[in-house]
Amino acid sequence: MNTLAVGTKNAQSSRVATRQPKSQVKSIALRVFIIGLSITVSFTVVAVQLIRLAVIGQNRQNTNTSQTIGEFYSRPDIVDRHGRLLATDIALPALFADSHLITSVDETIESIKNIFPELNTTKVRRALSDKNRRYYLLKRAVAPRVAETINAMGLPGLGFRSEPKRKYPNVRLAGHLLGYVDSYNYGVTGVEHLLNRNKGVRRVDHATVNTASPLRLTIDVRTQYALERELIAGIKKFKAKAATGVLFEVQNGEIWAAASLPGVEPANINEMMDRSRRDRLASDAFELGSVFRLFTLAMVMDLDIVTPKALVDVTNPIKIESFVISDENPFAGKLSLEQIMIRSSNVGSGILAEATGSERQHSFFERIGLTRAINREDIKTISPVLPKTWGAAETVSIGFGYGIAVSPLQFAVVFGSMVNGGISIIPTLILQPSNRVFSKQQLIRAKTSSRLRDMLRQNVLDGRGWRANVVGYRVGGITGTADLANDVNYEGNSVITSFAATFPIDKPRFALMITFFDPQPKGTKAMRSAENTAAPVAGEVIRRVAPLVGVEKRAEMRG
Amino acid sequence: MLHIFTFGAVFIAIVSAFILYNVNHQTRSFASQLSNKQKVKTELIRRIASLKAERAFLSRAERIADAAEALGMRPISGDQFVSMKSRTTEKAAKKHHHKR
Repeated sequence: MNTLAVGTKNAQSSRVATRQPKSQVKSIALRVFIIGLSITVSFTVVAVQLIRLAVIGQNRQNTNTSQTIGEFYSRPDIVDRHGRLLATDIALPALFADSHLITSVDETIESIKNIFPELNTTKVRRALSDKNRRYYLLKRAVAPRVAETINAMGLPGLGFRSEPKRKYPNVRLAGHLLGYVDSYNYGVTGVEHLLNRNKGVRRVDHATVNTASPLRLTIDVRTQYALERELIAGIKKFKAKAATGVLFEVQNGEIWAAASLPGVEPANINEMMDRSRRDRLASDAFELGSVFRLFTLAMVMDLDIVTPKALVDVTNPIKIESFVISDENPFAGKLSLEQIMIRSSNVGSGILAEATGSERQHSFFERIGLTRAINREDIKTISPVLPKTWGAAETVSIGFGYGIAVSPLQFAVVFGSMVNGGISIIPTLILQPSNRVFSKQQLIRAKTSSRLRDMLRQNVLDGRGWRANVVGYRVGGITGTADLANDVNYEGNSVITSFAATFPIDKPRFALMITFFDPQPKGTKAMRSAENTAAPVAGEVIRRVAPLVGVEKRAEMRG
Repeated sequence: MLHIFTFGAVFIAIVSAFILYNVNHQTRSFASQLSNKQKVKTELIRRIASLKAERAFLSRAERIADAAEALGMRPISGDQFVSMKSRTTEKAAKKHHHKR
């Protein structure tokens, strides 16, 4: 209001001014000057700011509009026991179209079609012609270089947003174990499925690098590679359909390598779904044949059915119900328990099983963990297929591994607990920071376990396992050749050959189980037996992996 | 006297308005710099992640094995290791021998 007063006073000419004292006039002039100055300064500031904004421009606004479009999972890395990368997230651009902004649908489609010939043109045309469609996903996981090309074409209405994409740098290595993720990066099977519950997994709306600590597996990439390589070589050499192998520590159950070949690439959904590439190691059950005689021998010794020095007459075939059981290479006379192992005598195993009886056999199998599936968070196997009625005939046939089907992994785990001093094993894939503590059960007596080890060692030195012998590593093991069962009947012509091994035998650290499916090597029928297929490959694997897993080679007099 | 005080106050108000404006402006500019740096950082982290994946892919066992075999290298064998225990006993035996 002061300004206004001054203004009116000035307007009333000098008549008023003369009436006022000089000092007052001066003060008014000062006020006018100051006010004028402040107004000038303020306007200048505003003007300068306007010019600045006009020249430099405002800060660009960043708004995130992708929230509603899709939700992804950002996943921690998966690494092996030594920190080597097995699975990781990377960001890849996804191409989308905003129909509202597209000027020419034809031109756009034609340009994209040149780059992605597999695109469904009619579907895309329909989507792009709908002007209300502001987001249409054209292509996921575009290679960065291709994205650059598309950007350079400068087509209006096309844009990129980065999406997380799971990468498996080792391609097929340990593919079955790792499992796979869906297009939202959510784990579907295997370790990826297990990882969903990891606290490092976050929901994100665009690709974000996951900085959570990686999931460390017990797998060792080098060991895994050595195992897979030897199995592939074996498949080639024996013209087998498939092969599986697993190597684990018998004291703590840590799996160092596990493979089912032909392998799968986790990033390739078609391979993951292919039945011929299914995981035979854990997700399929087979009658494994005479490797089971180890359990029969364990049973008769642990339950004191016979004395360790007992002799069994195997001259005559067993006749039970309508079946006749005979040996491939019949032996006239009596065999000790060890010789039953070494000669792989079905008759001997059958007689021992019969002497035990179905009830005790059933409860023994239950005790050692052959009747229920392994169902751990990280390791699951298919349920064993048990006989519908566990009668006398079944008891005898189970004695040498027919009439009961288990997954090779489950067999291997139980095998491990037979040789490690008789202690139950809980297999695991997740590396624990320190020594894993788990409740250990004594499944069989330590003494029985030690006797079994002696037999397994003899079997490698003098029996059918001779081709698995690796000088210096003191291998013990057992072979098994069985008819490969079809869905309804035995195929008759195909076999499944296995070798279960442990080393070093005096204080077992590792167990290894190698299985070949339908090997058809050149030469006589004997050439396809476990003795000539699974056993030599097991030996080769042990020779290669022993230095990797830290088993010392020791000078030996013999084998 | 009161006038001077009023003018002073107005002056201070104007000056502090300037300073405030300036501070505000600087803050905004820092914020925008920061967000730019963050963008660069995210981009770099992303690149590091993809480079790590690429390195792992290029150094995968399958590829290295083929290359190594082409160079005439073989997988390690147990014979390439020497037990420390046997070495020390050898040394001890030698020492013992010298003493004699």
